[in-house]
Amino acid sequence: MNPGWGKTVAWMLVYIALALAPMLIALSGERPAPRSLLVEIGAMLGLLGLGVLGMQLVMSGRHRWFGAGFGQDNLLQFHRQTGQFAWLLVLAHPLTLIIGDREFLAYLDPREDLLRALSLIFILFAISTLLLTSLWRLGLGLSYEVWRTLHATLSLLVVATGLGHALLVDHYLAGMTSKLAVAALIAVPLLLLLESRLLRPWRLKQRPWRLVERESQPGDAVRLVLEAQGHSGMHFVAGQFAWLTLGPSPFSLQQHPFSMSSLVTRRDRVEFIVKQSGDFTRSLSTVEVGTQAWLEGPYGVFTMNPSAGRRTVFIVGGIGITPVYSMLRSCAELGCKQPMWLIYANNEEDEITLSEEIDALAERLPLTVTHVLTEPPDDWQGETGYVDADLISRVLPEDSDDIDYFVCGPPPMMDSVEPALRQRGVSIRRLHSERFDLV
Amino acid sequence: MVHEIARHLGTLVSIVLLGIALAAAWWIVG
Repeated sequence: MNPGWGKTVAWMLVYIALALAPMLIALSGERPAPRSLLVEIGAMLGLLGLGVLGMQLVMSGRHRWFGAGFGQDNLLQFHRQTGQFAWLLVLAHPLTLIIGDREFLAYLDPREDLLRALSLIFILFAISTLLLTSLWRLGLGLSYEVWRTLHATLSLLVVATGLGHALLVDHYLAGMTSKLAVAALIAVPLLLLLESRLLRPWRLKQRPWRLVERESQPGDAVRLVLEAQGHSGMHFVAGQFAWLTLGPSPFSLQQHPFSMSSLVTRRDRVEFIVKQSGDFTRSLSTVEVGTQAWLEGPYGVFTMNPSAGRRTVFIVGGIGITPVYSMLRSCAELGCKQPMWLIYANNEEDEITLSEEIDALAERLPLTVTHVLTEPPDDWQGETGYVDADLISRVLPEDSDDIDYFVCGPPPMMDSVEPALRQRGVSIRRLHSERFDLV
Repeated sequence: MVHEIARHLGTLVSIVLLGIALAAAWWIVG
């Protein structure tokens, strides 16, 4: 479900307050004599940088209580943007101080204080590495697992070292109360990071799964079926996803998000349809049946309520069909009677994943299916090209308040479809979308 | 949440935070 404007503003205010907290704590204590404007700007940028960096750890930790209702993809998009801002703050902090008063150069001079200089230079280097490897992971040839290890390790070290620096500077945080308050504040995201990387995988050990079926699917995809071992399974809503780890250890960094395509009523038997597009997903076509697996989830707000009786439009591209397939299966099981439309875009006809399954669902539901191909065969009678405003107008009914829209597919398709739907008058509350391009 | 909103929230919040930090520095100097 989409959060409303009220909820969005409320969470933004919470975020802003927490990011400002180190600065506010520093200013609430006994303040030393003011220095030049540039120097004070530099000091404030440093304190703000510490707060923003702390929040980066919270936002990326998949904590259900934080930003509930916003969707992991939106939180990570926010995380990316504020991460870039944090980098700018960390660089601007010493730069502004030094321009304001050249004596601050001493902080970076190993001859003045070796440990201090090295740790501060490390922060500058580490945060730049964090940024570069996140923005250009593929260009740098980094595997997802290497990137993930680097990101978690450097994040922890940058925040911990930044906290140490703030406590040792002894200007705004000279008082013991201020020091303790900031230390306690920043300790929370550090502990949350340890919770998500250590405690959570340890808890997963109590809920193992096993791969019981593996089957190739059209569209260069593979279907995986997991069964719960000694527990009741995972309660999820159609459209949600989980982080899958294969192998004997839930601590493995080979953890990837995939949408469940199975029936929600079979909690103990979960199914994924995965497109083989990278190193990990390609390895799934040869993973042995019987392999142990671990599921962290469910996550995601790309969900519908089939019982609500609302007309629904699904516009999907490629493997975006998987969460929608789970929704349609749920609707079929409930005997939904409200009209539904599915626009399903692919490149070629033999790439259409779950084609037969979708046809079968169309027999059971009041579902109109429109396939769109960019590279159709010569005898193709259906729609061709890309999903755009023109196609949407031809295929879909006129918009009204009782229609919900679900859009899931590659970013170019979504960048085209979302504005087209908005131009038709579809309100933000009725337009649900999920993007998979996290890193 | 649609992308057209999500894509700008982080930037918007960053600008607000930067403004507050600059205002705080200005307030300190008086």
